[in-house]
Amino acid sequence: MQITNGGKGSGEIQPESADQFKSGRRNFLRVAGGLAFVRAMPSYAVGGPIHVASMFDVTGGLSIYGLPEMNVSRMAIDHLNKSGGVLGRQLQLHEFDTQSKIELYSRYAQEISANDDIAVVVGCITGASREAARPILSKNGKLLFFPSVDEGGECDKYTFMQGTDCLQMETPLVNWAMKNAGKTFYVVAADYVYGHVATAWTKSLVEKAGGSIVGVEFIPLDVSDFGATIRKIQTAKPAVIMSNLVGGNHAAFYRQFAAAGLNRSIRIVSPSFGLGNEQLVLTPEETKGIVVAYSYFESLDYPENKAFVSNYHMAYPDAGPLMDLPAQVWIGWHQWKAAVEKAGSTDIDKVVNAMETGIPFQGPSGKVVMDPISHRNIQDVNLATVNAKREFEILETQRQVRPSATVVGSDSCDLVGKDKNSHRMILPKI
Amino acid sequence: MDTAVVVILSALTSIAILLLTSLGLAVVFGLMRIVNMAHGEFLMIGAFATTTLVRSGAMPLWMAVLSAAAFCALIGVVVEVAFIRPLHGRRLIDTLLATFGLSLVMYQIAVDIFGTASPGIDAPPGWLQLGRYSVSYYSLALPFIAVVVTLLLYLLFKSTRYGLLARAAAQDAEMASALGVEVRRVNLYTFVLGCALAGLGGALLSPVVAVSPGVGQSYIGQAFMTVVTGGPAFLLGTLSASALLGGVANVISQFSTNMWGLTGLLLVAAVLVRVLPRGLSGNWSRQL
Repeated sequence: MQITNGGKGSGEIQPESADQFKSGRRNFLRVAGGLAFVRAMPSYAVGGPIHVASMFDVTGGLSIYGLPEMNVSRMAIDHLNKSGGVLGRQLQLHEFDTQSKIELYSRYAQEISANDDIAVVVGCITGASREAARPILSKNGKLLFFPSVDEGGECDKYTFMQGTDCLQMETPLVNWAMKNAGKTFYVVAADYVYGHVATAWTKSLVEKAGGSIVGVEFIPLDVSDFGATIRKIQTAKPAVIMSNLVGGNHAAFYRQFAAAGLNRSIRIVSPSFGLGNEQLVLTPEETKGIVVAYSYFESLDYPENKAFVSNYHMAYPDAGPLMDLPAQVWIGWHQWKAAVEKAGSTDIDKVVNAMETGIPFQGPSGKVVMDPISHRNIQDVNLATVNAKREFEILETQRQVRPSATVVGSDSCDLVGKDKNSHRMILPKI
Repeated sequence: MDTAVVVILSALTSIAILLLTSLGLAVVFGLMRIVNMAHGEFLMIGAFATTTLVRSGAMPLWMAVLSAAAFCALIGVVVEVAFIRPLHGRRLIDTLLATFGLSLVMYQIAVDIFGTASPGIDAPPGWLQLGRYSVSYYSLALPFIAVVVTLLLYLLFKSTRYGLLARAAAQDAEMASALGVEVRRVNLYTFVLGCALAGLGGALLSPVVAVSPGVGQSYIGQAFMTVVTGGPAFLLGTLSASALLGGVANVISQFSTNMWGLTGLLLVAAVLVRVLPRGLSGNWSRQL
């Protein structure tokens, strides 16, 4: 049967010579035979590697975060490939350096969308970059894993967040400060969407805990002279400063704060300090007493983390300590792998369904479980402070902290209920 | 009462930071008309040189600051001979492109050497208690240093033979050359002086900011704005512009927010350039 069909099929090509006809038929037979063999195998063995992508700012101002994230992305793919790949197939990583330019996120998102082979993107750093890429990716049916600490509000069926949100980080910080430092808070925050939403959370949490806010100041990202801010803080005399500052320029705040001698009397708590390894840039005298909250620290005592840390430093001996964001990249890739293997396919809807079943993953930060309603991880949050060796020392651990499904003072998100077809971001009302 | 004093002191520090980060550009761009887009990177190199020297324990801060300026001068020699001299007398845009390219290269080299989060140094300890407020000694020292540096520069350009030749070479290179001035050498000295000043500015800032490869980029915009609004008297004009812009930005920040402080700075600069197109010193008789 096959042979006669093959003869007819090749005949339709209208060969120019008998020789070509013959070789055409012979090739067809070879291909057909191959296909018959392939069909006998499980369907996922078809084809070569699974193509996947990462977009991070490896160069430019945000390289402080992006470079380690891309390194870990590479390392995670390597690790998955060495341990047998995903569905028995190897992974091929496409790296996109977005150069700290928002417009490149849109451009590369278009490029990824146009590439039918790419199954998933683990990438983006700031909320702004995610909002440049996410709508394009989800419109084109591409899955996005966003491994950053962020302000929350993302409500997209095709996006999963690994990092902690404001509620997960600020709740333990506010409670700790109320107990150990005092009830009056002064908020300094970066003047963009993260800082504003984080500050709205701070206000709501402090009020709920019975404290009071004695001042709020938003600081543009390019400000590094904090003379005026420090004078105003001294006028307001808070017991605690909640710092939602971000980036290299803002690290100068902690330096000038300490130089004026304020770190003796006022406690700083922060959900953003340390993400860019500020504890290395500043001296131990300057960082003394600053309390931070993240789900991941290099010093966590899990065997998964010890292996992760030693592999990273073997692969990248010059890199600084691992912070939360790169660890979330690792977790993101492994959660995706688990979901694809559960779904038996890289098909986006099947993978999303598998993700929403909440497959627990034991990773460098301990146990994480995806919350189907918010597409965010339920994870441990650790409070830590900087020691004299410029390392984070864990003060206490809060187990399995749930993310927020609402944006403070705004709408809520339910990706398995009312929002199961949503591809939107809930904007805060500030 | 203590509030007023602290506001004034804080404004003086802001002015000093603006002045110290602009002086190098005042010489290179204000006097020589070279659009040095790598000015921020010279600030960065000065800052990194200081933190490296202090952290290695090789020398105290003040000596490290001077060494950093000397190091930037050396780099300035190479840059002048390799990039600036061949473009002398050509359009402004040529040096703009060359120095912009140079700034990207310098930035990436710094990333490769120092990484993105390298340990910095803290300010010399101690603060002054003023009523409810405490002000760090180092931030009080910055305005004094800025004034001394500006005075020394003024004397250099006003009273030395080099200063006269430098101004002549910048004003009319051909005529100066015809009168026997070795313009190429004088221009080299002046450019190198500008680089050393940028290095000094970065070095003095290093204990109050977080030094990273991108540290210079947050100052270059304001430095150009200060020199442009300063006008033709490149030293005293820059000093006045720093006082005006830095003072406005700080005082508005004190009573409103940093965002409005920055907005105020930009607004004042924009209005000034509109009303006095030649800059603050446009109608002055002095040229320094």
